[in-house]
Amino acid sequence: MENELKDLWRLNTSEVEVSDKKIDEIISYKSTNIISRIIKTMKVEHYMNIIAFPIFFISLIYFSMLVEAILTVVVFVPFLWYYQTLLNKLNKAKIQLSVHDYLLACYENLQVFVAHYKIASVFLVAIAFFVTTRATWSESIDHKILNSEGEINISYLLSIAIGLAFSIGSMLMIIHLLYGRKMKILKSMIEELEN
Amino acid sequence: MKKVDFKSLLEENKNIITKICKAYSNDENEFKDYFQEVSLQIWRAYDSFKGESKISTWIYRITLNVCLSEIRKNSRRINTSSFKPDFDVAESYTDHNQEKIERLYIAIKALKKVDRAIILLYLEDKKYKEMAEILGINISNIGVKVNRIKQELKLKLNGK
Repeated sequence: MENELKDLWRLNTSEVEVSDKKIDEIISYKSTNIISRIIKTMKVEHYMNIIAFPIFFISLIYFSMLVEAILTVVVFVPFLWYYQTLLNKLNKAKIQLSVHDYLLACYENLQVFVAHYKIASVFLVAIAFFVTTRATWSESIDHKILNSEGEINISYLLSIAIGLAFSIGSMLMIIHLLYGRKMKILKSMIEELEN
Repeated sequence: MKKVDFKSLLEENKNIITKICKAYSNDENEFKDYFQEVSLQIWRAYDSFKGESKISTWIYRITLNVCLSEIRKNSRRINTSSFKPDFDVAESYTDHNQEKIERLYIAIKALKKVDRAIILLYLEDKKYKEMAEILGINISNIGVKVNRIKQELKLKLNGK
């Protein structure tokens, strides 16, 4: 039976024609590989930061905002270094690794990518919240936080906290829905290979 | 790498790529996508090939890595109907053998993705050492796994 299967498998010689046209198509094809897509996204973000940083810095210098300019350097330089480190880490998942090592590298890359977006989304929600509350801040809100007797209105603050928690929770849920299943499948394949 | 060298590399190894991609595809479009992606990854990675392993080992690794890491929404769906990739394919086996091969593919596709990789290497008549090198697992694990998957494949071929 075993040799019969191997003999049968040897007969399985359906062939794809490799023409010059096909070669050109392959070379111009955009990769759908998960690692390639993650690296592409991170590179786009990194390049955007590289462009945004000098523009922002020069604008601050132009408007003589020296303290803000120094703060920008203090924030952006580690930020750019972080992206470069992240990209170096992601690039370690070479397609020619053994199956186990490659799947493990994919899994670890996804972990890094997901952690990156979880942190970024929490920061974005927090920043968006404070920007909008500052922009719409008025006396009426002051009155909502403090009642007529000057006491803190717990229920109003609680509703703000619930709103914030809901926004952050939704962002984390979206990230989980996008990558959670992929990570679970990768992990189970790694375990199957190891056991 | 020159296009002409890439073409001959692909020509020499298209059989390996086709067989593995077909074992992981549910339809013709998926097959085309896998074949394209594997070929592209070979094109991109070739300059880093140091010759430390056989070129076929290197091709098996890339092909399996692409097929296993590509996680699609419908990856759990097993298409039990046969499909013939019309990707400029010329068939060279008889209808009778083709039927048997299609049945074998159906049984292989019913296995887990990792088990599929192991049985494909077994059917390709790879030695345990090379299988361990491709899969990156201990050689002593290979024999146990192969025996278990062979039994499972036999059951599936017998319709159990």
